[in-house]
Amino acid sequence: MWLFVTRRLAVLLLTLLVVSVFAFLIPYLSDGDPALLVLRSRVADFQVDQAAVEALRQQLGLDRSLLAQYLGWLNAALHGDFGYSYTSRAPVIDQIGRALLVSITLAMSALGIAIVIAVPLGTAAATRPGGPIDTAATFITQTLVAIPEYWMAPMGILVFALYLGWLPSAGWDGMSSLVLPAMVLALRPLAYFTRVTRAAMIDVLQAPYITAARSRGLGMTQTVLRHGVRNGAIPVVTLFALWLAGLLGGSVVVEVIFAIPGMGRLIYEAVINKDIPVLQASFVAIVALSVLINTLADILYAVLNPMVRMAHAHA
Amino acid sequence: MIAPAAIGTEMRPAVNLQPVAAPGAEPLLAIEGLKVRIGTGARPVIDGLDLEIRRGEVVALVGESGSGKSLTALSVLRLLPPSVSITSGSVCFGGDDVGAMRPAALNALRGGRIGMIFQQPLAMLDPTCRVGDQVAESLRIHRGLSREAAMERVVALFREVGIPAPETRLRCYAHELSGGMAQRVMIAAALSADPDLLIADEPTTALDVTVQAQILRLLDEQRRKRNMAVLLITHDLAVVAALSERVAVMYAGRLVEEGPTREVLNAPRHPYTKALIRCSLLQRDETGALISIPGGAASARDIAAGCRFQPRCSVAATSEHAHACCSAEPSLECCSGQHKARCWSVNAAPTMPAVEHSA
Amino acid sequence: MHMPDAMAAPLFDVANRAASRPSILRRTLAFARQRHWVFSAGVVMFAIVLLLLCCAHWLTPYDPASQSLLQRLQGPSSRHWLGTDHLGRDQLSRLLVGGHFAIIIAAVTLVLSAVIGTVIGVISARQGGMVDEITMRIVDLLISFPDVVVAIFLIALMGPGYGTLIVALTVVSWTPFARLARGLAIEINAKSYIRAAEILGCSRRFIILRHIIPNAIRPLAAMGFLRFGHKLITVGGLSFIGLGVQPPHADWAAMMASSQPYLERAPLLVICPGLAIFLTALSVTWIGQGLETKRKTAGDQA
Repeated sequence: MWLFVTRRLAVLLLTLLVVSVFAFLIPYLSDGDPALLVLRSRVADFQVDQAAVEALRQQLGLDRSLLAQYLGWLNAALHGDFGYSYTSRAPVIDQIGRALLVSITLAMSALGIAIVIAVPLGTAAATRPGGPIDTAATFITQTLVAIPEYWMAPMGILVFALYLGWLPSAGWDGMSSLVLPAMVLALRPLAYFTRVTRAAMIDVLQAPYITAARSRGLGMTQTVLRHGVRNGAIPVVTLFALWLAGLLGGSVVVEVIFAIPGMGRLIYEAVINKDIPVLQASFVAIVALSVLINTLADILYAVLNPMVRMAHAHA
Repeated sequence: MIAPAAIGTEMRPAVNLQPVAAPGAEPLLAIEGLKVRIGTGARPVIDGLDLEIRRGEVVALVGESGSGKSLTALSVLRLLPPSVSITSGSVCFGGDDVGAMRPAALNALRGGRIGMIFQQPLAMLDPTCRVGDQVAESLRIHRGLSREAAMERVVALFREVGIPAPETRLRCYAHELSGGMAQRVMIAAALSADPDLLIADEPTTALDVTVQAQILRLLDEQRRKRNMAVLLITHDLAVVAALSERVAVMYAGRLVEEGPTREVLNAPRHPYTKALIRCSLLQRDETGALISIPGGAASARDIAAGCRFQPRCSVAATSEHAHACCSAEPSLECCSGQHKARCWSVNAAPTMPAVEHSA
Repeated sequence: MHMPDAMAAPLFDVANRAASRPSILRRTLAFARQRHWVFSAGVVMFAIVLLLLCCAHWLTPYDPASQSLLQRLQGPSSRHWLGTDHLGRDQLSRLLVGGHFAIIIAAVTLVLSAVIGTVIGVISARQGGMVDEITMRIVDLLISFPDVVVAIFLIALMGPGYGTLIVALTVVSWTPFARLARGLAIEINAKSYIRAAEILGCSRRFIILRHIIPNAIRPLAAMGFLRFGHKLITVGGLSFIGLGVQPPHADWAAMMASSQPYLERAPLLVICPGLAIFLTALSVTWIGQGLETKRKTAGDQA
C-alpha cells in the first residue's frame, strides 16, 4: 500500500516538474519580448525606450541562460512568488488563492448537488433495469448532457432572479448567490454520475457475491449497503475526482455569466489582458490541483478496492 | 468430469451409514411440483420437480449443465435472479411453506437453517470486504453476536474447517486466497449458524483434483458431526458415489431416476443414467471409441412430445415401446423399493398412446 | 448464387461482397429499425438541422448582417417572426445561419481528434510495454485537465483564429478516442475468433479488414457522435466569452452573449439560439447513445 502511494506521489512530482517548465515558457511561447512583457508589469506606461528595456533585461537576468532563468523562476514559484499581475498590480499568489477558494466552493457545491441526486437515482434505476425509474433516469441523463450551461444559466436567471426574484442574478455574496450557479454547473455531472452509478450498481447487484451474501441471510437493503455501495462507489469516486478537477477552471463560462470571482474568470480576464504572470500561476495551480486530486482519487480507489492495492504492491 | 483417483475403481457408495429416518416421518425439505420459468419463456426450465430430503440425509442431484440443478437450489432459498420466476409448486422446509414466508422469516431461513455453498467460491466473496467480516456477518445476524464475539467464533470456525493460521486469514481479502481456501471460508460461513440443511452447488467443480478430495472429506466430516442434511448438486458421479445416500438424476428440467445411491449406480434403470455412468467411467465401445451420449444436452425449453431423452436415447429407437417414447412422456414410477425411473422400458408402456402432458 | 467461403474469399473481392449483401440504403433502414426510438429521433432531428443549415441561404427572410437601429429589440411580429436583436438584425435569419461555423469547427475538430486518437491508441496497444504505459499516463493526465481551460490557454498563446481554435480543441479532445481505440484494439485482438483466424492462416490485412474494423467502427462512431455534441457546446462556450467564432459571423452562442444584457426585455433573443444549440447537441447525443446502447446489448448477449 505505501509503495503504491509513494509511486503515485513520485509520478505527481514528475508531472508537476514538466508542468512548471511549460508554465515558465509561457512568456517565450507567446508573441512578444519577455522583457517588454515584464516591463509592462512594472510600469503603467507602455512607451519605454530601448535602453530601459536593455537595462531591465540585465536586471531581470533575461540575458542569462534559459536554464538559469528557469531555476530562478522555479525557486521563486516554490516560495509562492509568481510576480505581480499586470492589471491589478497585486501579488499573483494572493489573487490565485482567493479565486481558488471561490472555485472550490462552487465546484464542491455543484458536485454535492449532483451526487445527492445522482447516486440514489442511479441506484434506484439499477435495482430494476428497464423499469419506469430506469427509463426516466436514462432519458433525463441523455438530455442533460446536451444542455449548454451558458443557456441554462440565463434561463435560471430569467426564472429565479428576474421573474420570481428569489435569487440574485449575479455576484458572489453569500449562500443565495451560490445556489443558481451551482445548480447550473451540477446538471452535466449529474447526468454522468447517474449513468455511472446505474451501470456500476447493475454490475454489482448481479455479482455472485451478492447472491452469496443473501444466502447468508442478509436482507436486500443490508446487502446493498454492506456489499453493494462500496463496490459500486469505486467508479463513482474516479468520476467525482475528474469532475472536481474539471470544474476548478472549467466553470469559466458560468463564472463569467454570474460574475463570480473564481479561477475561471481570473483566467478569462488574464487571457483578455495578456496578463502573463497570472496565466503562468493559474496554469500551474489548475494543473497541479487536477493532478493532485486525481492522485488522491487513485489512492482512495486503492483503499476501496483491495485488488488494485495488491496489483500495485506486487508490480 | 471425474476425479482420476476414482477412475477404474468400482462405483460404490462409500458412505451409507446414517440410519435413514423412518419412512413416513416428516421430511426436512419437500419440493413438490416445482416449475421454474426464465423470462417469459414458453416452457419451464424446471418442470414439475418433486424431491424430498429427510433429516441428516445426503441427497445428490445429478445432471448435465442446463438441466436445472442450480436453479433448483436457488428456488429453495428464493434467491432466483429477477428474470427467473417460480410459476407453480411448493417448497416446504421443516413443515413451513418457504413461498409463503415473509422477508424476515426468509432471511432467518437463509444462512440460519439452510446454509449454501457455491461453485465459484472466489467470485462468491465480496472483493472489497475482509473474509472474516463476511463470515462474521452470518453469525451476527443469526446468533446476534457482538463483533468481537463473532470474530472469536469465526476463528474457531476457520480452525474447524481446516484453515491454517485463522487469526491472520480472517483479515485477508478474497483475491488473496486460493480456490480451495475460499471454499473453506464459504463452508465456514454456511456452517456458522448450525444449519439443518446444507445446499452444496457443485462445491468442487472449479477446484483442483487434490483440493476436491479435501473439500469433499471436510463436507463429509462436518455433516456427520452435525447430523446435517446435504443437498449435493453435482455432475460428477464419483462425488455422488463417495458422499450421497440417495441420488436424483435430472434431465431437461425433470427427474428421470431417483433412488438409493448404491442401487442407482450399480443397477441404473434409465438409459440416461446408464449412459452417464458409462461416460464417467470413460468406457470404450466395440470399435474402441470412447463412449459419449450422442447429441447435445436438451434444455427443457426445446422439447417435443414424448420422452425428453428420446432423441438421444439408444434404447428408444430399437425398443418395442418406440411409439410410446415418441408420443407420450412416461411418469416417474417405482421399479423396485425406493428406486424410481421415468422410462417406458422400465414401466409398462400404455397400449394406447396416452394423451398427456402438453406443456 | 454461390456464397464465398469466408476463409477462401479473395481479400478485396468487393463485387462479390457487395452482391452478397443488401444495399447500403436497405441496411441503414434495417439498422435504424432495430434501434431504440432515441436513435431514430436523433437521426431525424440532426437531418432537419443539417437541412436547415444547408438551405439557410435561401430560407433567410433578411440579410442576417443588415442592421437597422430603428428596429432594434422588437418582439416577434409578422415581419420579424422571432423579433430583432440589439442592432436591429432579424433574429430568425441570424438563427438560420448561426450554426455554420460552430458545427464545421466541431466537425473538423472531431475528425482530427478521432483520427489522431485512434492512431495513437492503436499504436499504443500494439507496442505495449513502456510505450503503452507512458502514452496512457499522458492520456490520463490530459483527460483530467478541464478542456475549456486548456483550450483558453492555447488560444491565449497562439492568438485567436479558427486555426487556433481547431488546434486547441483537438489537443484537448483526442484523448478519449485514444483510450477507447486502445481498449478496443486490445479487446478485439484477444478475442478467440481473431486467434482462430490467425491460426487458420489468414493474412494480417484480411483480419484487420474483415474482423477488426467492423468490430471497432461502431463503438468509435458512438463515441464520435457523443463527443460531437460535447464539442459543439465547448465551441459555443468559447464563442460565448468571445474566444471562439468572431464577429461579423453570426453564431448561436455569440448571439446569446450579445443579447445577455437584454435578457429581461427580450428573452427570446437568448432562448432561441440556446435552444438551437441544445437541439443540435441533443440530436447527435441521441444518435451516439443509440449506437452505444446497441453495442452494450449486443455485448450482453455475446
